Amino acid sequence: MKDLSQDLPPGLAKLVRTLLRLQTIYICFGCIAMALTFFLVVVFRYGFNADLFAYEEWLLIICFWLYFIAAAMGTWEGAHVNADLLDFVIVAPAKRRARAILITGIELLVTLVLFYWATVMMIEEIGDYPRYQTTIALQIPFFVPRAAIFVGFGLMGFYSALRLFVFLKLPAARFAVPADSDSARGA
Amino acid sequence: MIILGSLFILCVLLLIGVSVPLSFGGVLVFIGVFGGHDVTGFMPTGHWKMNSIVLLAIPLFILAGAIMERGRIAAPLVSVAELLVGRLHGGLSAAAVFASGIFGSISGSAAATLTCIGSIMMPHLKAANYPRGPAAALIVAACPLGLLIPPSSSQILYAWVAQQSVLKCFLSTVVPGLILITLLCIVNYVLMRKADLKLLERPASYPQEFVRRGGRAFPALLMPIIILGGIYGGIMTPTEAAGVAVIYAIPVGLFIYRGLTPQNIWPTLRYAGTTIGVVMLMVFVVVIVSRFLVFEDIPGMAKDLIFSISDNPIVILLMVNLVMILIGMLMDDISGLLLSAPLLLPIVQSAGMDPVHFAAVLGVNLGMANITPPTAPLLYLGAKVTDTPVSEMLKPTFIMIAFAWLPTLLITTFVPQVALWLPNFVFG
Repeated sequence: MKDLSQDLPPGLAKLVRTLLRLQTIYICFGCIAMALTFFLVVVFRYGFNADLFAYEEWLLIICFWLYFIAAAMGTWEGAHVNADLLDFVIVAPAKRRARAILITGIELLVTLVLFYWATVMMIEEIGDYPRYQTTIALQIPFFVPRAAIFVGFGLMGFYSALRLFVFLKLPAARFAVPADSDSARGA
Repeated sequence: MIILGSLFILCVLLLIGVSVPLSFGGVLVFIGVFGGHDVTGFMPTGHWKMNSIVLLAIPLFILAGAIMERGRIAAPLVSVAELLVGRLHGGLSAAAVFASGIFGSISGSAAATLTCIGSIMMPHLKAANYPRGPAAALIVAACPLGLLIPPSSSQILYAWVAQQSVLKCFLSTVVPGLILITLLCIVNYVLMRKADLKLLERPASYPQEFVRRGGRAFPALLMPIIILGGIYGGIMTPTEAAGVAVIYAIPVGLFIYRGLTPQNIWPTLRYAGTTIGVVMLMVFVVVIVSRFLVFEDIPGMAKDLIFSISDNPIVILLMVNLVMILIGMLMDDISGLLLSAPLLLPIVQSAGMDPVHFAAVLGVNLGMANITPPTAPLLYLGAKVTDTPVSEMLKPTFIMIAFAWLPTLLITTFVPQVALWLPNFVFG
C-alpha cells in the first residue's frame, strides 16, 4: 500500500499528486541550498577572505520550510518512525485494518490540534503588525519561518485525513501481510 | 499527576504504533487540555529552539549519508575491510563490523551505515555460507557505530541540548566505539565458530591487492580526512564540514563510483529530504515536550527521587542507565536523546559525572536503543535491507546486546577515562 493516491477519487488524486510534485521540487531545492550554502561559506572564507552576509537568517528559513514540507511528505508516505512490533504480531487482515484506522485516526486528531495551535500562533504573529518580531540583520519577520509550521501541520492533517479516508474505504484484504514479509514467512 | 498521565499516554501511543512525533504531540495535547498551560507558547518554543545553525548539521549528515548510499561509496570501503580480515574464519562478517566503523567516520548516520554496508555485505555473507540470522544481526548490531565514530548526528544533538563542545562530544564516543568493534568481533567469532564457512580466496599478492583496493577506496577514505581534519583542524564547523561532505560526495558518487546518476539524483534528494523532515519534526515536537519537563522541574524531581533511593554514585548511574534503556526500548535515539539529556544530566552531574562523559554513555545507550525492540528502527530496517526475517535476527541480536553492547555500556559508564581520555588528550 505504498501509493495511496490511486485509491482516491480522481480529483483528489490529481490534487495530491500536484501537491507532492511541488513539495518534491521544494525539498530538492532546500537540500541543495543547504549544502551549497555551507560549501560556499567555506570557499568564501578561505578563497576570498569574505563571508556570506547574514546567511544564517535566510538559510534557517529555507531549512525550516524544508523540515515541515518534508515532514508532510513523510506523513503521506507513512514514513514517520514508529514501533513496528505489532506489525509482526497482528496478522489477521481485519485486525490490521482496524489498527491502521485507529492509529491514523489518533494521528489525525493530534495533528489537527497542533494545526489549531499553529493557526493561533499565526494569527498572533500577523496581529502584531507593524511591530513584527524580525531577524536582526535582514529584518525578516518571524512569521515567515513560523508559517512553515502552519503549512506543515495543515498538510499533515490533510494527508492524514486522506489516509484515514482510504483506509476506511479499502477492504480488509488489502491490509493482508505481503507474501514476502516476515509475518507471512511465519515470524 | 499530569506527568504520570503524560507518561502513560506516551507509552500507550508508542506501543500501539502511533508515530514517535505524534505520540509526543499526543502528550502535548494532554498537557494542553489537562495541564492548564498556555498552549500558545508551544509552537513558538519549537521554532526558537530549532532556530540554530548547529542543528543544521543533522539534516546535512542525513543528506550526505543518502548520497553516499546511492553513490556506492561504501563498496570500496567494504572491499578493503574484506581484504584485511576476510580470510579468517568468521572474518567476512567481522569485515562488516570494520566497514561500519569506517563508514561511520564519513556518514554520521546509523541508518545510512546499515543500508550501505548491509546491502553490500549480505550477498557476500550468504555466498560464503554465513547463517542468515546471525550475519544480519551482526550487521544491524554494528551499524550504530555510525553514531559512535565521529562525526555523529546524535552527539551534535546532545552538545546542542547540553550546551557542550561538539568536538569533545564527538571524541568521547571513539574509544567506546573501538571497544564495541572488538566485542562484536569476539561475539561474532563465537557465534560462527561451528558454521561451515567458505573462506575468501587468497589474493596473488597482498601488497599489490591492498594498493589496488586502497587506491579504489582512496576518494572515499579522503572523506573522513576532509570532514574530521576540517573540524579538528579548526578550518570548519561541524555544520560546514557536513555541507562540504555533501558537495564532495556528489562528484565522487557521479564520476568515480558511478552509483549516482543524473536520473537518480532527484529521487535521492527526495528520499533524503523526507528523512530530514521525519527526523526534524521529531526534534521539533520533542524539544517542546522536554522544555515543558524542564519548566515543571521534572529533572529536579527525578533527581530527588533517585537520590532518595540511594546516594551511592554506582547505584545512581545504574539506575540512570536503566531509565535510558527503558526510554531507548520505547523510542528512537533522537527523541530518546532529547528527552534523556535534560532529564538525566543534572542527576549524573550530581553523581560526579562529567557532561562529556555522559555524552558517551548516552551515545552508547541510545545506539543500543536503536536495535532493541519494540521500537528498534534499525532492526526493522536491517530486516528489509538484508532480506532476513526479524524472527531469525532476534536471538543473535539479543546475544550481541548482552555480550557486546551492555559490556561496552558498563565500561563506558564506570570507567570515565574510556570516554574522557581522548577529549582530554586532544583539548587538554
